[in-house]
Amino acid sequence: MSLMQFFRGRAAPQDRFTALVRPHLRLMYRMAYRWTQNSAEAEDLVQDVLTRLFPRLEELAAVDKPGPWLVKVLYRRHVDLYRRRVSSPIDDSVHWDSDDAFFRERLIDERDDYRRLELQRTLNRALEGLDEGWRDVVLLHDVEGHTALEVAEILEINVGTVKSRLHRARKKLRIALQPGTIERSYAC
Amino acid sequence: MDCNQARRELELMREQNSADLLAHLRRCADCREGAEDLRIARLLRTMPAPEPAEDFERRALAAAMPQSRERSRVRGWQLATAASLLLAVLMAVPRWQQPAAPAPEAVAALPVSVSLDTPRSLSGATIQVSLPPNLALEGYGDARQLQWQADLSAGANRLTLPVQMRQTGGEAEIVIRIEHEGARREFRVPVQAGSADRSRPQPTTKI
Repeated sequence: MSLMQFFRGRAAPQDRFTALVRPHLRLMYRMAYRWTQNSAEAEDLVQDVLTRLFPRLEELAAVDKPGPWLVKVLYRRHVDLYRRRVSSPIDDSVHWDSDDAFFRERLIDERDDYRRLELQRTLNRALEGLDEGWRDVVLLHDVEGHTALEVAEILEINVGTVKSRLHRARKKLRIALQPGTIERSYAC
Repeated sequence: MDCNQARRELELMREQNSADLLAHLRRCADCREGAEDLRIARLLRTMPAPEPAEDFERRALAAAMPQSRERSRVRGWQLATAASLLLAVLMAVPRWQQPAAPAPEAVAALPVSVSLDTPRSLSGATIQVSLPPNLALEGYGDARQLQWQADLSAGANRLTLPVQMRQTGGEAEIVIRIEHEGARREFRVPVQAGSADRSRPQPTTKI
């Protein structure tokens, strides 16, 4: 048993959990935000996942790459909670909406980056028009920088599917950024 | 400039592209597409996201630990999970007879039964019962609130409360809260002494 393991064995579960999870909390929050497009719901989703994960401490400790593993757990919980709600006959009004309010604030705060932010807002809106499966791949791979293998593992699909979805999604996004399309979306 | 040179120059991400590169892009559709893909990739990679609220990490970790004094916030997810937490109080208070000779303390004792119906089993659900001042639970003195954890099976789960009425007449309302994995449902069971009609439960849900 290495010294590290020895100390791990002696540490309180709370401390071990914190040490394992804390470095990935920002990543989890950001990913949750990408999926929910709402910072309050993103925080709640992460909170919910952490609460469920604490009893699974040993499983978490045995994971090689906790980052993608945590994102996978987060994704599953998101699908369970959020997408089930979307398909619920009780509340059919909820769907993925680009967080335009966030971009509005940023556009005021960061006038120098106006052009870039405008394009990013257009892209984020264009993500709204993508199939859920394509959007998940773009958010994980292109936005958050996971490898195609990691994305395949997180979404439980094969790598070929990840690549073909990326290809098709980018083609759609390219159209959204074509000059004519963007000019129309500009407000003075 | 050929396509290879053009791609290399594009990869450099210069602020200003050279006239040669722009000329090449004007006549080469493949490189234009490649340039556009690169631009989109960079925009996506730097897509902004808001910061979490101050102290989020500490709060989130604290709330995840058992015996945490900081309660998990349920805000948005109440809506999400409450939809799957289809609990219902179906049946409650039997006729509550007004006693003939009212005494100041514990004048009437009658078990109140509620049925908590859930379509799926909920393990480790927290059940909280809150009583108004004119009601008490037999054996629990003046405790206004009781809370415990229980596993609810799929289907009907009967909960019987040994309720005592401390004052005669008047309306009372028992509040039952069920919490499971961050989702919460609240039911109000109105009771009124001496009136069978008014004692029928009218559960309302508050999310």
